[in-house]
Amino acid sequence: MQPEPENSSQRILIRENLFASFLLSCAVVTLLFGLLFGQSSIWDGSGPLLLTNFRTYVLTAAFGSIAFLIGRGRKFHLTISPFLLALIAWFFLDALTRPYSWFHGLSIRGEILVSGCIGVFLLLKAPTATLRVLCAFSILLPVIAFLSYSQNKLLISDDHASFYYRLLLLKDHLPHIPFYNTDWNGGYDARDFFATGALNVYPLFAILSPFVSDPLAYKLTAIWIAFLLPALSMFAATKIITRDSISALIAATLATASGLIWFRWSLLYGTLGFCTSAALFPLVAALTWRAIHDPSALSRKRDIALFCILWTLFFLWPGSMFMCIPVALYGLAHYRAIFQNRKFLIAAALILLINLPWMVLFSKVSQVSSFISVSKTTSEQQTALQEQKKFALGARGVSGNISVEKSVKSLRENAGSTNPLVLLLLIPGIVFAPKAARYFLGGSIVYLLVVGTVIAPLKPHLELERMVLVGFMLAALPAGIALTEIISRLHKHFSSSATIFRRCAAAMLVLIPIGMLCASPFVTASVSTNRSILKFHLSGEIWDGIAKVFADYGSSNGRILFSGFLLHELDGGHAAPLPAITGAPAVASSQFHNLWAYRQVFPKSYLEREDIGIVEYLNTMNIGGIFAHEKQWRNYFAARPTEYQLEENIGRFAFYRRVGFASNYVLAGAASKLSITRDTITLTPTTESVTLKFNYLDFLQSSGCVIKGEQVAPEITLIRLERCTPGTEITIRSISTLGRLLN
Amino acid sequence: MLGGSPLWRQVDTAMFSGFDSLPVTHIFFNSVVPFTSDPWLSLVTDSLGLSVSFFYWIILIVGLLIGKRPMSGIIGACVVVAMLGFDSVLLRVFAWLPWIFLGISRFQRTAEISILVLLLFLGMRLTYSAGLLTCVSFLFLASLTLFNSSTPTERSRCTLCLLLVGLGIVFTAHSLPSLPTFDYPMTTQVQASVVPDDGVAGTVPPLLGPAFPMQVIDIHNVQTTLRIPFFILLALAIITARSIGAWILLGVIGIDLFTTANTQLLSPLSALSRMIPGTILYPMVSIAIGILTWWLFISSTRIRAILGIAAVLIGLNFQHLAAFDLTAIQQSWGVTPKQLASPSLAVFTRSAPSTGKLFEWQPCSTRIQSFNHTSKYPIENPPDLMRIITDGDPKTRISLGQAAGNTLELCFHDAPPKALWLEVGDFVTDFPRNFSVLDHATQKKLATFSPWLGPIRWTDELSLPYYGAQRDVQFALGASFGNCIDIRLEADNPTFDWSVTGLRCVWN
Repeated sequence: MQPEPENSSQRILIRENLFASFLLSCAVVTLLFGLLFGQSSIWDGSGPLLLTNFRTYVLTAAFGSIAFLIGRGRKFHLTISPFLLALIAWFFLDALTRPYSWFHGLSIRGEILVSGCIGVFLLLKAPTATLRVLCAFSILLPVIAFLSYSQNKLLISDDHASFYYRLLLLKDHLPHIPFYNTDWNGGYDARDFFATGALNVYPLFAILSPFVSDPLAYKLTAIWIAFLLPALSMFAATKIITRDSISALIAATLATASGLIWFRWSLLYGTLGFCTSAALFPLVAALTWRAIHDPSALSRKRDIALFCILWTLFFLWPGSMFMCIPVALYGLAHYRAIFQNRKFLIAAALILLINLPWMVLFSKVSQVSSFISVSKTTSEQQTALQEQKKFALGARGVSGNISVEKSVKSLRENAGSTNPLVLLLLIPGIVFAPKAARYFLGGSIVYLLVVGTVIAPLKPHLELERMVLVGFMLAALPAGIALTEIISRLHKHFSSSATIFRRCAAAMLVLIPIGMLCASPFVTASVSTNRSILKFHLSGEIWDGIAKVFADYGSSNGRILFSGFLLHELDGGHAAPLPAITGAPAVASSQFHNLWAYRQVFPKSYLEREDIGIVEYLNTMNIGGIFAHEKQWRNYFAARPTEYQLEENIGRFAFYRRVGFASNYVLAGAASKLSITRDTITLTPTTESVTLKFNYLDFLQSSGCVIKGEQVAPEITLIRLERCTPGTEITIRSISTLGRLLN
Repeated sequence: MLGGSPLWRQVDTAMFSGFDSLPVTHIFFNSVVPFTSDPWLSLVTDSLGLSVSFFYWIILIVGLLIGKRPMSGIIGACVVVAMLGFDSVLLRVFAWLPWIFLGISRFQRTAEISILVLLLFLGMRLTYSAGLLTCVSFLFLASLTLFNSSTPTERSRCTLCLLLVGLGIVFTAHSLPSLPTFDYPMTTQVQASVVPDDGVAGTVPPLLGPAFPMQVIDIHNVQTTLRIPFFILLALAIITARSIGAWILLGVIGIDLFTTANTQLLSPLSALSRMIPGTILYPMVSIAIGILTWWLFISSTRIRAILGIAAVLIGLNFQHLAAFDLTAIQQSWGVTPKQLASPSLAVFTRSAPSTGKLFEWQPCSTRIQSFNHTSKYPIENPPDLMRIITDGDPKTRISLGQAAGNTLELCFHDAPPKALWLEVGDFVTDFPRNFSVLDHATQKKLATFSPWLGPIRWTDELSLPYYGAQRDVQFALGASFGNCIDIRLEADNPTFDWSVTGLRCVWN
C-alpha cells in the first residue's frame, strides 16, 4: 500500500507544477497584453475600462507571485492556454474597434466566428489540405481582388510613382548609373537607385517588361512584393528552420496578413526597396542560421548561388544593414562553426565581392557617412539646413531622446495595426521552435523591436522605426509554429478518448485563433481593394489629364513647370514619371518625396523681384507651360492673360502656356542642332562660349569644350561651355560609373 | 402563364420583359442585383418569346427532374417559389446547380472525359445565370459535392470537376455585370437613404466584392417577409429532419430573422455575406431558406408527409407576395421601368405619389388662424407660440417632447396648404420620429410617417427619388380636409425632443 501515497503526492506535485506554469504564463501574457494594447474596455470601448496600466501590473504581480509560491523554485515552462485566452480576450475587448486595427470594426467578430467554425471543422477533417488551400487562398485572393479593383489604372500612391520612374530609368540606363538626368529641374544627379533600393526591385520588372506594358509590369512587380514575396519567403524560412510543412503553410498565411503596417509601406507609401528587403529578411536569416548549423546546407553550387543572390537582393536596400546585425552577431557567436565551413566563407566572400563596389559608389555619391552622422539637430537647425539644400529632412531630422513612454507608445501604435495572432503567439512560438533557433529568433525579433521603438528617435532621418515592421514580419514565423502546436493539440483531443465536454472546450479555445487565421486572407483582400482605413491611390482623372497635357506638349516646346509646391496633388502620387512617360521635361519643387516642408519652386532671389523675377526664372529654365494648383498661383497667372494663356483645367490644376514663348536651351552664346536625350545633351556651338539652361554638376564632361559652372543666381548654377570649336558637335554627359567611383 | 397567377407572382422588377440586363430590384427586400444576358440562352428565349426568368425556372425543374429524387426535388423547388415568390435572383442562383450536381456524380462514377467538357460549359452558363452571386452558387456546389464524396477517388474526381466548373466561371468572368452607379448624393451634408435605417452606425462594407455606398436592403422587410417561411421550415424540420446540419442551418436563419441589426452583424449569414463577393447585394437568409427547403425535401423519405405539406403550401396564397402591383406603381408615379428597377423602388412602394415633388416653400404664418398643441411636457414660452414660429430665428423653438400622443394643432383661415414644412432650425436632431397627420374634425388619418424617413428628393441625372435629411420635416398633406389638422406623434422617443422653430407651406 506504500506506492499509492507516493503516486498521489507525485500527481499533486505535477498538478502544482502545471498550475504554477499556467499562472506564470498568465503573468507573462497579461504583461504582454498590457504592453501591446494598453488600456482596454469591453466590446466597443463605450463601457468602463477593464484593463488599465495599474491593473495590468497588479494582475501580473499577482499571477507571478502565486506561481512562484506554488512552484517553490521548481522549473517552470510556459503553457499555451493563457495565450489562447488572451486572444479570446482580445476578441471581446475594444482593441478591434481602434482605427488601425488589422481586424477592424464590430462586424469583423462575425467573420472571425464564422471562419473559426468552418476552419476548426475543416482542420479536423483534413488539416494539410485545408492549410494548403488557405495558404494559396491568402495569396491569390488579395492578388485577384487587387487586379480587379485597380483594373488598368497605374499604382501611383506616394512613392509608387517615383519607384515606377526609377525602374523606367534603370530599364534604359543600367548599368550606367548614376547618371545626369535632364528630365527634371534642368538636370539632376540620378543616383537614388542605391538609397531607395530600386535595384532589388528591378530584376522582376526587367523580366516582366518585355512581355507586358510598363505600367502593368510595375503593377505586377508591386503585387509580387506586397502579396507574394512575404508568403514565399516566410514559407521557405519556416521550412528551413522547422522542416515542417504545416508550420510553413501557416507562417506563410500569416506573412500575407501580418498587419496594416506592411501594407502601409508596400501599398500606400510604395517603398518597394525596403519592402523587398524586409520580406527577404526571414529567408536570408533562416538560410544563414541553417548554414551555420548544418554545413551541408551550402554543399551544392546551386545553394551557394541562391544564398549569394538572396543576400545581394537583401543588401540592395542599404537600410538592410540595420536588420542583419542580429544575424551577424549570431554568426560571431558561432565563429568556430563558420570558420570550419569553407563553403560558407566562400559564399560570404562572394557576397562581399558583389556588393562592395556598389556600396562604395553609393557611399561616395550619396555622402552616406555625412548623412548617418547627422545628429542632435534641432528644428531651427533643420530649417537652416534645408534652406542650404543640405540634408533637407525637415521634422524627420529633429533628434529625440530615449524615452520609455515614447517607445511604448510607438510599440503600441505598431502593435495596434498588426495581426494579434502574430503578437500574442510570438512567445509560445519561440518556446515551441527548435531549440537551436529559439535564441536566434527571439533575439532577432527583440533587437528589431528595440531598434524600431527605442533607438529610432535618436536618428530619425534613418527611419529606423521601419524595423518594427521587420520584427513583426519575422514574428509570423514563431506564430506559425505556435498555431501548428495548437492544431496538433486539437487533433489529439479529438482523436483521443476525451469526453465530449473536453472536445468542445478544446474547440472553443481554438475557435478564435483559427478564426483569425482563416479570416486573415479576407482582411488582406479588403486592404487590397481599398476597403481598409489605409487608402492607396491609383491614377485618376488628374493624373491622366496631366499626363495627356504633357504628351500633347511634347519635348520640343521647352519645359513644363509646376508652380508652388508639389507633393501628392497628382491623385496622391508624385510627378516623377511624367517626363519618362510623355517625353516632356519638367520643373517642380521636387519630383520625389524628399522635401518635408513647403518649398516654393521659384527661387527666393527671383521671387523677390516679383513679376520680372518670375519671367526671368521662366526664361532661365526655358519654361513654356505652367501648371498652377495653388490658389495664389492660379490667381496670379489668371490675372495676366496677355502673358499666360489658360489652356485647360484639370481638377484643381490649371494649365497655362506662355504667350509668345519660343523654346531655346541656350542662355548665352549660340548653338545649333541641340538635342536632348535623358542623359546626354548634344549640340553644335556656333560661338566659343555657350551657357546652357541646364544645371551644372561637377561630374559632367563635355566632348569638345571646357565645361564649368556659371552661377546665374544664388540658387542656380548652369552649364558653361568654353573654348569650343564653333561648328563642331559636342556631347555633354556624366562621367562613367567607374570614373565617379575613382574620382 | 405562371407570371399572371397571384401565387407565382414575380417578386422583383424583372417582370418588365427585356430588362434582364438591368438591375433586378426585389419588391420586399429592395435588394438590387444586376445581371447580364446569357448570349446562348437569349437565342432560345428570344425565338420562343419567353421571359428569361421563366426559362431559368424550366431549366431548374428539368434539372431536378432528371436528378436524384426528382419528385422531392421538384416539390421542394415549388415550395420555395410558393414561400418566397417567383424570385429571379434565387432562380438564377440555383438554375444550373442540379445539372452540375448530376454531371459531377456521373463523372465520379464513370470518369467520362466528355462530362468534363459539359461541366466547363455549365460553369460558363452558371456565370451568366448567377452573375455577381456566382460565388455563392459555386461554394454551395463545392461544399455539397465534396462532403458527399466518401472515397478518395470520388474526392479527387469531384475536385477535378469543380476545377472545370471554376475554369468555366473564370473564362466567362468578363461577362459579370458591374454594379450600376446611381447618383444618390452621399456627401457629408446630404446622406440619401431609400429604406429605414437598420440601426447600425454607418454602412458596414463587405470585405470583398461590390457594394453600394448606402443601405439598400430593407432589413425590416426581409425579416417580416421571411418569418412565415421560417416557421413553415421549422414545422417541416420537425417532421423530416434527421440531420444536425439542417437544424444548425435553421438556427442560423433564425438568428437573422429574429434579432436586431446590431446582433445580426455577428450572425454567420451576415458574416458570410461580407466575405463572399456579391452576396451583400441580396439577403443571404433568403438563399439559405431556399437551400434548407430543398435539403429538407431531398433528404426526406416521408414522401406522403412531404406531399401533404407541399399541397397545403402551394394552396396557400401569401397575401404579402401579391400585395404589390408594379404596373400600378409605375403609372401612379409616372416613372419608367428603369426608375423602378433601382434602389428607389422602396421609396415608390413606401410613399404616396403625392409626396413626390415639393417645392416653392413660402412662410405660412399669415394664413394660420390658430396654432395650438398638447404635450406631456411643460412648454417653453407658452404665450408666444405664434411669435416663435414666425420670427425666423432658428434658435427659438416650441419644444413639444417626443412622446406618443403629443399633438400640434394647426388651423388655417382658408384653403389648406398642399404641403407643410415643420422647421427644426438649429435643433437638427429634434425632428419627429413617428407621426401622423389627421383631420382635426374627423380624426381621420390623412398621412402616416411611421417612421419618418425624411422628405422625398430626386436625383439630378437619373431622376430617382430618395429620402433626404430627416431634419427637413416636409410632407404632403394628401387628401382634402377641413381647415384644421392635427400632427400627432405615434411613438415615444426618450432620447430626442421634438422642436418646431418655424412653419412653411406649399399652397398649390
